[in-house]
Amino acid sequence: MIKVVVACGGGIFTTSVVTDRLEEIMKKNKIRHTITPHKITEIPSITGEDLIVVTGKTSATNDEGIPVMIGISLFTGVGEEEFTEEFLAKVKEIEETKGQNG
Amino acid sequence: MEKMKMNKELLFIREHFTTKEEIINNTCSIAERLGYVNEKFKTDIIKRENEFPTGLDTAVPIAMPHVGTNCNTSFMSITTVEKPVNFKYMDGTEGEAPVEIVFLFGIVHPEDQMEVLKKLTALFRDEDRLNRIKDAQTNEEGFETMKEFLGDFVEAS
Repeated sequence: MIKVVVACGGGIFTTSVVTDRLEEIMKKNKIRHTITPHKITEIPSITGEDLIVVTGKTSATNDEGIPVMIGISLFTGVGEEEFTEEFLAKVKEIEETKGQNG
Repeated sequence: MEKMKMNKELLFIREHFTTKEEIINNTCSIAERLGYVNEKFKTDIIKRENEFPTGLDTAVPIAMPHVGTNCNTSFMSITTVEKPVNFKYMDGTEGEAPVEIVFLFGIVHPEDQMEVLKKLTALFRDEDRLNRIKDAQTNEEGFETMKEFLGDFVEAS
């Protein structure tokens, strides 16, 4: 189970669209997941999640070290394939780490 | 379920605005007159645009300022400009996007608007369609073009 956070500035338009695209990608790749919306300003303090996808500008990092990926390409379509590959590789990495930890 | 409103009065075609504030002020004051938003909406849009800009490096550069606060009904508006107007990039890229089309939205219940939002995302990826909007010469032409794209997903008036 991969727990993904989608974070944007206003939390409406881009979040809705990017959440929808991530759902599609993960369903297609049979990845069990949850997706929770947050605001960009909350990035440092998010806990108990595996991966944060941001749809706006940020240089913020998470205090617990949860990886942050810029997912704006899922919205604009520019560089979407590259993002999807990176995202899936990251998910695989997280799943493997989780597996090792039991 | 409430459809997003697309009112002909909120289409501003080939305007001579030179700053993003002019575009936002113009749209928001008409939206307020139509009763779609209250007077605080404009401040929310400008604040959001300053904190989290919405300029995009699409085939025809666009910006899409939007909030859901101080808004009574979901609506969309379009402004096209004679000369590009700078907006900061959404992804934090250095410099500014030379924006030619501004889509300004109020979205009250995003879950009700998923279909139209998806449709709009498809539009943002479509160079030919963006060019058609950019090149529209009159409000009528812009309105018909948008109606053709968004069809049943909006309440056009």
